[in-house]
Amino acid sequence: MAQDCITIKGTRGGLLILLDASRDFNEIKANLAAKFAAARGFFRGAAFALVPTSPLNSQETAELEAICREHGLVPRNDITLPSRRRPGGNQAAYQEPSTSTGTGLPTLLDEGNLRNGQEINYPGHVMWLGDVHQGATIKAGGNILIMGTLKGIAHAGRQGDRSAAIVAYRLEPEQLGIAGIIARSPEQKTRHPYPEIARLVGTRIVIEPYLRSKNSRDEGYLYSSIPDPPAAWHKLGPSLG
Amino acid sequence: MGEVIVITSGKGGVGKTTTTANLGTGLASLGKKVVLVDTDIGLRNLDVVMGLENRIVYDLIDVVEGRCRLKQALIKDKRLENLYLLPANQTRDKTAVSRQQMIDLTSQLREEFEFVLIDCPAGIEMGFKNAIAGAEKALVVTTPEVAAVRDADRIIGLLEAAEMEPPRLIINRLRPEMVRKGDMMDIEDMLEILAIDLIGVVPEDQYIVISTNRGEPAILDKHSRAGQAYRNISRRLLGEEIPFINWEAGSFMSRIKKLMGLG
Repeated sequence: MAQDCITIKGTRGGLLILLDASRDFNEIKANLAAKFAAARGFFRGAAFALVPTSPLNSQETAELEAICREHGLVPRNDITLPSRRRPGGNQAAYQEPSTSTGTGLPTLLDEGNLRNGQEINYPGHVMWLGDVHQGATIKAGGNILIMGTLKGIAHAGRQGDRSAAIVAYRLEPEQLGIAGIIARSPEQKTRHPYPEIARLVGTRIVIEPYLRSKNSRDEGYLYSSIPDPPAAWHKLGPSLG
Repeated sequence: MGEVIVITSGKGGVGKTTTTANLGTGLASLGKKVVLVDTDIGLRNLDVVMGLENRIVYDLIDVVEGRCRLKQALIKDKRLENLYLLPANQTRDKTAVSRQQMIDLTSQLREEFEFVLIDCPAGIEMGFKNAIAGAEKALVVTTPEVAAVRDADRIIGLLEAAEMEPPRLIINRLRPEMVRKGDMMDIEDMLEILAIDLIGVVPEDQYIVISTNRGEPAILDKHSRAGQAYRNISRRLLGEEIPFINWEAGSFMSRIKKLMGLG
């Protein structure tokens, strides 16, 4: 065993057992059993979910689950964790991990710093734990929630969902888009020390404090719209406030 | 087994080659056996900065294509016993070497040397990919300019995607007097944008121009401010805890600190 083909991660919902599916299946099995043996019952009673790097067939899954059960673990399928995988050079094509939500769209949950030149393009909602740097882009079919500073570009509701919103812990984007309507931030960069939400009102993108009661004096402001990018960069639109 | 460290930046002209030459010289003068590898094939400079250009007989391409043994291509530094340079080829281009060849080359070098410093070409194309192929650590050089910091961010993203150790940042050509006036990005701004660890700050120093032209790394000059910064970075690379010189606090403070042995 030159390198571990199994990593066990603890999350609030239970254990995630990450499997390197490119390895020999028997090696994975042996490795898994060895991990539990070494843990001497430490994992007993814990909920777990298997997360292979590529899908396993049902027989393989069953065999691995059996090993986990033997050691007292309880299978559960709704455990999620921000994936540690780094977005690739230019574009990260995300299929999984995802969970279904009430609105029917899956959600991508990931963490880290999304850096200049990196792009997330996901058909569902995107929840990003970390900063989105200038030059980085998140495109989502649904909502975008950024638990960090958004300095790059975020486009929500890419399939035309006008109710999609963009929420960030700190909203300092280069550009926002909702349902194809694109706006840029005011030329005069203002930093608001509170979370903000961007929504579509008519054909304009309006920014408001996410917690209205706390900052009730702010009545929201508009981002200047870019009707037909990149043809025209309009001057700042009138503020609502 | 030695460490293989790539010195990279994305943007050109921020001081990768100068940094490689100085850190290599610094590590060698601290007694380490060091080799510098110039991967900027077609636009080699490291040999000039080291003052070794007239000693090149074989180069990196000759080695990977088997025209000479690795030992034959290594040029011994004229000042330090335990410092060597593997120069780049000047007639070919970046496609002349493959990633696998770089991995093989660096694994050969790390058996012989304690530090293998790779001078990376600007850009994110093949030259960059080759340069990082055999490295496990990276130093990212930037200057306090928006464009350089933006490119550094891009490079850090690519290094992270290549699953290297978290890179460390060198801020080069900082002009303390401009920072104090608010005309230049300060260190904190850059660290906030790039979100990586700092390993050193090199102040702007006219002596660098002189030393580069002469082919004598500034680190060898006791009076050079940049040389002092490079000496500190070299020691941090060896794991020593060296306090950061507060270039931004003003020359008086830094002089006091120097007197107190903190510089």
